[in-house]
Amino acid sequence: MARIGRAIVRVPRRISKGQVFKVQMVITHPMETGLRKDKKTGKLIPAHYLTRIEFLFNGKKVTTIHSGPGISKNPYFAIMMKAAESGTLTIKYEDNKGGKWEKSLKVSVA
Amino acid sequence: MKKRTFLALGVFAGGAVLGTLAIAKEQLPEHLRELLELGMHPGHVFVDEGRDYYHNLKGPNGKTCATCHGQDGSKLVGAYAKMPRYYKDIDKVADIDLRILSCMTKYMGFDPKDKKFKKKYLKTYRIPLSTYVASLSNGMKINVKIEHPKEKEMYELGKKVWFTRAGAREFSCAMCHTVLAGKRIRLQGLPNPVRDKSYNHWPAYRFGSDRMWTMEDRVRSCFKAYFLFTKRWDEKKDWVKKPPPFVKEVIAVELYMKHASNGGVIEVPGLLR
Repeated sequence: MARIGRAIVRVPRRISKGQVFKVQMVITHPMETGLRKDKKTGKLIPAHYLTRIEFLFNGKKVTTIHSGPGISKNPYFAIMMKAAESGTLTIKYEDNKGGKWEKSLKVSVA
Repeated sequence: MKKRTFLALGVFAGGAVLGTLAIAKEQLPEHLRELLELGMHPGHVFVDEGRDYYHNLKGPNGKTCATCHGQDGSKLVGAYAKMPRYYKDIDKVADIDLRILSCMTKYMGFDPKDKKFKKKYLKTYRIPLSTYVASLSNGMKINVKIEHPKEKEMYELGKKVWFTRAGAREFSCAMCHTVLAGKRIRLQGLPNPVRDKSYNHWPAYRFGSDRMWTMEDRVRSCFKAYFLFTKRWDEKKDWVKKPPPFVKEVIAVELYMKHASNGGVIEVPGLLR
């Protein structure tokens, strides 16, 4: 499925200097726990979930989320952060099967 | 005692005025209600994906949707509010799913007889594209007019399907959504399209099945679950089977429902339990 790993990120349009703002994101991912059985074949569906989500601002690490199989399908994540100047926010995320994705967007601080 | 009943009545009437959104919000679990208030949920990923297809998906003719309809869907704003309606070029009353398919086969050059393409359309292109096109008319009022004779014919058919009891369970749409509307089936409140304008949040993301549904999916699986589609019930043939996509009756019911919820403000993508 081409849909796996597609994400949307949203930040406020107007951010003043030193303001604490919210970064929201939704990632499309099946988030299989590895405990579920396929109804037709009766075999376990192999685990497939996001393990790590990293937030970088202008190349500097903001925070990392370590996620696991306990999180729902198509998860929603949000963090609060502060920015002193405008720049690019890069989000790197990966799963346990070796999938790696990156998403970046511009944040303008007035 | 009297006072208490009066108060309860007041609350009930208030709920009726506020409409489906109130009912829908009331029945949503707490974590989903929170998600709806944040203004971002997995349904928005489909809008994003649809935007991607709209600008980048090229047909054999080398056309994309954007070449005819403008960048960012500038010429499609408000189109969803008038759908389903009669289209001259295909000579049919079409809902959003059928309209996009016929656009793809007629102008973008995809082969309508190609089974692979049709399967791919149904599985991958249909839902993101129709969600994106629907989301362009967010904040507008639903305004379906019935003027053309074919539209009138479809409306009558839709009305007939809505009220006819059919299938192995002798059910009709009206039983739940007109007669019992406002009550609950299991835990879910039953919306009435006339009173609650309940068409406004479709296509919607359903959390239970973790996928996006257009109204066509919704009607078709309703047919499967409650009517078993045909009147002549053959267990081997018709038991638990969906009607084929883009069937006349389904579009007619959609037209009937959307006309009934004229005046509701569109909020796409919706979020359901």
